Amino acid sequence: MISVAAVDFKCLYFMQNCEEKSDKELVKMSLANADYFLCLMKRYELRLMVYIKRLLGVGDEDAEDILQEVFIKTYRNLNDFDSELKFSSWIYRITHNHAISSYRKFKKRMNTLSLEDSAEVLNKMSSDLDIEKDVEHELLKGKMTELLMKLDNKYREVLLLKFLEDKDYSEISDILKKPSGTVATLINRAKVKFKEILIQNNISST
Amino acid sequence: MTKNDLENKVLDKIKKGNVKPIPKWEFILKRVFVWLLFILSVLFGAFAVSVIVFLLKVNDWEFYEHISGSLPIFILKTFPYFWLLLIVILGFAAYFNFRNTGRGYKYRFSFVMFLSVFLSVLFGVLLFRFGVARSVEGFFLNSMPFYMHMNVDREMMWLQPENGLLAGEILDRVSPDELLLLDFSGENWTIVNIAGARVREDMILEGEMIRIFGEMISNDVFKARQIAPWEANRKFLKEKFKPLRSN
Repeated sequence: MISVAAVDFKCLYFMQNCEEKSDKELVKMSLANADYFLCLMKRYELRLMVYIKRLLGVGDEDAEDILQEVFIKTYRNLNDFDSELKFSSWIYRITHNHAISSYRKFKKRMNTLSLEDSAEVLNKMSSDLDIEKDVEHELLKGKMTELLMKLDNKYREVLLLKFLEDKDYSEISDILKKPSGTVATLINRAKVKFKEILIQNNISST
Repeated sequence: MTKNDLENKVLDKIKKGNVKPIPKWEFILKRVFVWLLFILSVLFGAFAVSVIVFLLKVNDWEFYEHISGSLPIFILKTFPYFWLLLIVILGFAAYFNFRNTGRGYKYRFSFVMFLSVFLSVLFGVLLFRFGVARSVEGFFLNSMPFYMHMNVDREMMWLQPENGLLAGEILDRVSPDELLLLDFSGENWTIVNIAGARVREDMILEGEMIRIFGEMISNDVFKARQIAPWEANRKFLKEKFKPLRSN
């Protein structure tokens, strides 16, 4: 009981001391004192959990196992962090790469989207896709996972980062280590491919 | 697991497992190594470019009509494809190495390839000017059997006196119109009509290697119509054909 309270107190102490610190400052502080790494983990845990689950379609338990490994890897590689880069892009890159290698290990199919996520993707893509007004969005939402699964992984991952993680082209470029121009091309092609899939599945005629 | 559990579990693993951040010098060393690989790729590409320039310079341009009939066919037959392939391979190597530098991924493939080929050409021309190309090509001739075999064709082409093509080492300038030649197979020839052939006097000296277009008069006499120096790696040619002479 005492040790749990002590740990919670330590967490609270470090959280209070790092709320206003930038990511870059926290990286420096974590290198000097591992306890400050708690702040970075706290800051990114939820986002990265959601990202891992969206990317791999795994449950909470598997996502947490992967995220633990991601945080340990992040800590070990803190000296490799390039301060010219956004820390969020850098940790997303580590998460993405580790998740992909975990996917190969577990041989899981990627990207089982929730209905909420499907709606979000659909709303953000709909103007670009120029879907007819009478298309039933509810029907499309339900089929979104199935339809997105028909896309190649390289298209699916950029759509996920762009429309669900709300990353801009520069951030996606840093996460996937691809030129910005290539990212833009992939997103455009992804939309075209997805539109073709909609047509093939009789959801859109244009 | 609650959120705090996950964070604390990770911190616990870090402390109890004595997990430490990898030292910065290791990352710096890795980055330096990757940049070095990129520079080496460009540098070796430059060596290949210098050899291409060298080989094009010493090619049999004066005799293309007699060898191939037309210039385009001659170019197709004699272009140094091995070195061109090497440039392409090194270009790709340079791209992959550049991509692994800190921000190399931000640049498109076409840009990086253009950059590495451009740098290779720039330094390659400089290396050629400093006479490095001959040594590089000579090293390949001397050390790499597969490359030597690839280049035997050229020497064999100049061992066709019946077709008007002969080359070799000048043994003696007998008179203004005659000289003695040792060909690549170790046979002696008397070359006549030196005065009547198109030739620079400074190349008709004992020990010089020459190429001759002309007409075979008999088994050991050859009438010259056109003479040019043999500018390829003579040293290695001589050594290569030593066994033939002893036969």
